Amino acid sequence: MFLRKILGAVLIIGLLFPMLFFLNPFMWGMRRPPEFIPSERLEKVLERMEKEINEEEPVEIDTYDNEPNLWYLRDCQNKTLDSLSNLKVSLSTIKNDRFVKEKIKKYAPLIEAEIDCRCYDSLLFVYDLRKEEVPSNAEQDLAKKYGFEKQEEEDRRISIGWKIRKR
Amino acid sequence: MENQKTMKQGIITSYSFLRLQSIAFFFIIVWALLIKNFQILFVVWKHIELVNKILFVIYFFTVLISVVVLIKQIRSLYFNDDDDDDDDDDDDDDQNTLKRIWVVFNIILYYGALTADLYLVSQSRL
Repeated sequence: MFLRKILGAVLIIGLLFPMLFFLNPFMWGMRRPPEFIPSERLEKVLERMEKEINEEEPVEIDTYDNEPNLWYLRDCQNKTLDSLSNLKVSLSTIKNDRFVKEKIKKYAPLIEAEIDCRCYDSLLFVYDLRKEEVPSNAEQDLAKKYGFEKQEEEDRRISIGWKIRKR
Repeated sequence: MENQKTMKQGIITSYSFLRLQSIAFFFIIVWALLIKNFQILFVVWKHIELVNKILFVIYFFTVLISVVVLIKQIRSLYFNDDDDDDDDDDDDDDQNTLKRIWVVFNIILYYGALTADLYLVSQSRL
C-alpha cells in the first residue's frame, strides 16, 4: 500500500516535470530558424574544392550563414517568394587571390549543377584576403594622393558573384 | 450512496475513458510522425503550416488538460484506500491493477504527445 503511494507520487512528479520544458516559451517559438543544409552531392563538390585549395593553402569552406533556410526553400517550392536570394559559399582567410579565383571559376559550374532546386539567383563566393596580398587598385591610389590613408589592418573581404539561370 | 460515489469516480478511470485518452495521444504522435517522415508531401499543400499551427494550439491545451486528468486518475487509482473494505475485494483489485498499468502506459504516450507537440511547433514560424 505504501509502495503504491510512492509509485503514485513518482508518477505525478514524472507528469509535472516535463511541463518545465513544455510551458517554456523558448521551446515553442523564440529560437533560431533552421540552418541551410547542403545536399550530399553539393557537399561532396565543396569538399573536393576544399581539398584542391588545401594543396596550396589551408582553407575552410562553409555554407552555414545562408539566408535560404527551411522556410525560404518551402516558400520557393510554393512559389510565394518575392525575390530570389544568393547561395553564399564562404571561404576562410586566403593569401593567394589568383589561385582561389581560378578554383572558383572551375568549381562554380559544378556547384551550380548540384543545386537541384531553382531557388537561387546567383552563387556568391565570399572570402577574406590577407592584407599583404591586396593588390593596390585605383581607389587606394586615390586615397594616397589625397593623403587619406586608410587603416587597413583587417583583412579585405572579397565577394565573387556567379549568375545562375533564372527561374 | 457508495454506489453513486464509485460511479462518480468511475467516469475518469473507466475503460472507455482510458481508451479514448490513449487514442487521443496516439493520434497526436501519429500526426507528428507523418509530418516528419513525409514532409515533401505536406509541403505541396500550402495551408499545411496554418493547419499545423492550429493543431499545435489544440494539442497544447489537450496536453495541459491531460496533465490534470492524469493526476486525478493517479489520485483515485494509487492514493485510494477505500477499496480495502469492499465486498468484492479480489475482483476490484484485479481491475484496478489493470487500470494502474494502463495509466502508466498513458503517461508514456503523454511523453510522446509532448514531444510531438513540440516538434509540430518547430515546423511553424511564429
